[in-house]
Amino acid sequence: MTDFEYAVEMRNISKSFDGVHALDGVKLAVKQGEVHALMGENGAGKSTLIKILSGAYQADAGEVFIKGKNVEIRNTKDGNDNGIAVIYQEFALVPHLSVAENIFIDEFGVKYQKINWKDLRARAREALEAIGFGDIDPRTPVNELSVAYQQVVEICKALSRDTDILVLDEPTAVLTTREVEKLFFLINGLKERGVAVIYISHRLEEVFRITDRITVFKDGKYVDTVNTKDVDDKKLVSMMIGRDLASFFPERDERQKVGDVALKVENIRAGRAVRDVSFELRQGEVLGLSGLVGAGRTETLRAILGVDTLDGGKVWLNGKVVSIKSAQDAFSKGIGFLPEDRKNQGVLLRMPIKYNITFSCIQKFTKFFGWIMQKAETVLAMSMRDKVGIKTNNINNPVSSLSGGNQQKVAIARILASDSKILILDEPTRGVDVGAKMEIFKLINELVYQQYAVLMISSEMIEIIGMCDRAIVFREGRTVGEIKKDELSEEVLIHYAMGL
Amino acid sequence: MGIFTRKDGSVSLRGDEAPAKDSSQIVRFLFKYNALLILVIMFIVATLLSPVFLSPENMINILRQQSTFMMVALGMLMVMLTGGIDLSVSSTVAVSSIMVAHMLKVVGWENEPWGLTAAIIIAILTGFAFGAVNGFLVAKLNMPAFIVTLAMMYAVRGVAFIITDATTILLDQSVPAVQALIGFATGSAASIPYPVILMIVMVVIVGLIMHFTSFGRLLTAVGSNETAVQLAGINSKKYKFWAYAICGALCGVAGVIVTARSGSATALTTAVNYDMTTIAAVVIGGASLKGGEGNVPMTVVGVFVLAVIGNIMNLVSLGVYPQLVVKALIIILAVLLKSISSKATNTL
Repeated sequence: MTDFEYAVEMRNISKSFDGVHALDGVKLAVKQGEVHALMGENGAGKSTLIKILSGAYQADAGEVFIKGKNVEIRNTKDGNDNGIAVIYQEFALVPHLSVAENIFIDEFGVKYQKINWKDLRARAREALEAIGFGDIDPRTPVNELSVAYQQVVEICKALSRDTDILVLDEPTAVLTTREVEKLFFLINGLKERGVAVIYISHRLEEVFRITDRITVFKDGKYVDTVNTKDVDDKKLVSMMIGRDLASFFPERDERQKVGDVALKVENIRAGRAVRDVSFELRQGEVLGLSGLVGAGRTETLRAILGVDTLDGGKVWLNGKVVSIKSAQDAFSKGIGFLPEDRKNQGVLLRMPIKYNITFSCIQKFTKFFGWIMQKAETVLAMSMRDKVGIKTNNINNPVSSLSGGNQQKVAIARILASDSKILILDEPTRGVDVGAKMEIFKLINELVYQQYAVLMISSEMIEIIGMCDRAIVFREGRTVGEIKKDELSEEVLIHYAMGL
Repeated sequence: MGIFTRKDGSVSLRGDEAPAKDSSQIVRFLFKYNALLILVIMFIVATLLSPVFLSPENMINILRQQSTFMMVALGMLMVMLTGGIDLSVSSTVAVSSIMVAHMLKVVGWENEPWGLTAAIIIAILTGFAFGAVNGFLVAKLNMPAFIVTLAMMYAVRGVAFIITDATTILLDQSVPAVQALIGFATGSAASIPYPVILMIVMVVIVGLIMHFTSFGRLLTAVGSNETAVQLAGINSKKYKFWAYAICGALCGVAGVIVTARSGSATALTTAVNYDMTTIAAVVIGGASLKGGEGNVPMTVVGVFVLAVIGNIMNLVSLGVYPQLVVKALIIILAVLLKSISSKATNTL
């Protein structure tokens, strides 16, 4: 059928930035019609490799073969010409233009001509139908589509350029469960068409479901390529982090005691997403909120924090019924909230680490007219830095100078500095690498030992199982189950989450 | 990115490379504070071009001219730190200037012993009130600052015309109250004009507020990332509101000095160029239109960069129109250097 083994093969690729090896002689080989996962911690070199493949970076050494032919990819245009397309998390779509215009946007500007709208739409419809999404109207402006459909348009646009190597960079990060299903349906269709798909994701469950083979990088080096069906999650994680899963979740201090109920919600309702939610959170425990994306967990938090209004139900704080009107109100009542979107909601990237830690509790060290006592502030910031283990020598550096994991620790430090005893952590390990994840887990353990009450949302079941004393499962806006630590397993969580 | 995200981790990639630090640090400093460099260069160029430039009279003259711009620029800095903009400062300065004259002359307070004080207070309160309207619309009603203050620019100028009926209010310089007012603009202590002293006091006060109080800190934080600040339990709207309100009050003070300088007030020509001049000064001083960046010392530098350009071009009798082009080039140069420096620091 074909006279080449791999649709794309990259051999001995090396790339350094300022003398530091980002990639050190790595390889990647993807067959036609294969979905190939590229995995590794943040900083393992996945993005660098993809950028070399797409032509955004130039490799220092190594060769790239497309369909058996040695090619040189000097820029992104070369990448396109060789049939390579990368779908990043940030779509490259023009929001106000229609689906059809977006798909064929390359054609505009190449030659001056009158646009044949009829033809354009017909071709767009054809292209969409070819990948099984004939229900998208080519005339719809892209910004009126859901994120998932925007992604479909982006993929369709790539395919219309005769792409046979498609790279998906964390494609499900922005999608709901139902949308993920659509994406997988689409990917399966692409496989049948013989497209080679390189799939980058941190979500193990997806990787096991959708991919055929897995290549793992660690610290810029090639670890191994395996058939997906030959490995399990433990094996895969140990390949990625170089140690096994058991050591992944730190031991809890055995002297830990679960205390009184700190936060209790009873039959709360808010909008369409939160229909009937009840649970109790005690001091000195980690309570996990599990469930599929879109099950109403984040919306429940928003309702508790007073961002969205409660339509019904009661919220107790330390035994008293309270009504929380805003995030400010929640904060003043001792609830610290760590938002899931760290960069946009969690930290002030451009401001110094010190200011980030103290801005919530600045009134603690102000005198007349809000005059800040700088020494006291620095002392507190330093002690918080040490408490949560932020790796920096200079707390006057901007937060943007830190890695994702350390940025997250800054956000946690800020909550702790303001003496919140109830911590609501929404996806606390999102977008941080495995090493930093472990440190955040250790920190959470330390906090519950100090009688903080921790409510943790996570989409990764492994985290819920590894970290939580109890887990509450959400389905369609309702709490449908409470599972104790010794009963926690993926089977049980899925069982409740999917209503089996 | 890849490897750079591991800066903190087990692999130490940077921070331990002490050599070559000195020269690159100086370069980075100069890029970051490029306005300072520009100001120094302009001082040198100006000194070479004109012997008059460095004379005490000329220096005092520059300071005197800039006192009102400086006050407005301080307000503009606060607004821009929150990520906003205030296009209505010219109009607000004008209406405050008119309120002083109107109260003294038309209402007749010039004959009352408390008249001058009251008129000045009314003028500043007027500025404050218009600033508060801006603040209310932007902060509480979440309207875009550009649009709100653009509308207010017209509205407030309109009010100025309505008050004066499009005429010029000429103050009667034989009245003691008016003499006191004008005396403030023309008089000096230890050969430093009163308006300059007031300007220095204001710069120091605003500087202290912005750098050493929680108000200044949180104002900057709001501009840096309002969502994060809100979710951290801080009432961001309060800070935005006060930025506009204080900016309005500072325009009020500037308006009083404008009237004191000229002994008259008119809606047509008073303070027509304050918006763009102060925005330019704040931007030259390194502030970002997106908010969260900028400080008082550099804003002072920004104001003087524009002042020195104007001054030296006047001294060498360059025409008014070429002056505009030169000013534009300096603004672009400053912003260009800043964008180069932020790119450089991002990739390093």
